[in-house]
Amino acid sequence: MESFLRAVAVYGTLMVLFRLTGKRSPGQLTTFDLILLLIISEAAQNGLVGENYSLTHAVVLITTLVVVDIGLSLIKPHFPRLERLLEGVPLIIVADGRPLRDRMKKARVDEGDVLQAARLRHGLERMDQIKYAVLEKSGDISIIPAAAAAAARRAAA
Amino acid sequence: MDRVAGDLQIEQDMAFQRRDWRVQRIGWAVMVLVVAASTAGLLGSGPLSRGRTEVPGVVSVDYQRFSRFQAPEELRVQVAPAATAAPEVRLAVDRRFLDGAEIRSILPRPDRVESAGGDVTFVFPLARPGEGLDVVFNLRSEHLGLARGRVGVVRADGPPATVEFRQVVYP
Repeated sequence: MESFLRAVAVYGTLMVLFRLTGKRSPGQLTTFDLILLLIISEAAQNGLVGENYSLTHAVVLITTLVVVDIGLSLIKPHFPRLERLLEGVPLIIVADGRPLRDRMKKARVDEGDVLQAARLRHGLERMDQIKYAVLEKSGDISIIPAAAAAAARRAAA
Repeated sequence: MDRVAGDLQIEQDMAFQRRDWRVQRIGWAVMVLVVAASTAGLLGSGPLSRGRTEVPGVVSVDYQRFSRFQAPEELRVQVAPAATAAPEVRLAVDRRFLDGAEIRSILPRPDRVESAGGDVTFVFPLARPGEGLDVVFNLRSEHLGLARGRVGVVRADGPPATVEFRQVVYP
């Protein structure tokens, strides 16, 4: 019982905290972010394990964490509102080469982040070569290059 | 929810997004409050957590108002010289409180420990008559929630002088 409660409490706390922290993809993690995550995992470990170092406790903890995770992923498709609540929604931050500054500010993403994603993924040089940039639920910034979008439309026509 | 925005097939939802941002900012404020409350001692040890209860001139107890499950804590009992009588001082501590706390050490160590009538009585030797007693119990909370404690000094003449305290133990 205690193992179960501990696992669920830590799972829930981390989920709420990280949801409130905002989007941040693995690609955007700085070295220090990574270190911070390691420290957080260390702190969470004490709350999970407590003073019970038995194998049973560890197995129950891990199983509970995995079961809760699988359970949520099974439930989510049936409750779109829950899914939105837990994962957020994607957000367009650049449209037709124009950065939507108020959105970017609220989402704590700047033009540099968008241009970086454009360079890394598509080799783009300037903002006006971007048709859309979307801050995805995962925290990634996806880029639709203007040239590729125009070519696709020509092909369709 | 706009399924299409411009040429994009995307489930963007600005109404939800704005609520999301608002909740996020409130969440940050709550996090700051949690850190502040914890620093102040409302979630464990700290300035606001220090409690003291006493029968003036006889006995005082310093305890921790807010404690955490299985965290070390201190209970300090001071008996005034006027209230002691050679050759020993007898402190009666409520059994129910001790059931919810593990005693890690007692300094100075009692000569013997007796159990009677729902109390555990710690008997401390007095080095010299007319001295007070200052004893620290190092404890560890083993029960969650509200804990009540009672400490009494057994007196030869009349009823024991008793102080009571309450503490909250967080998980």
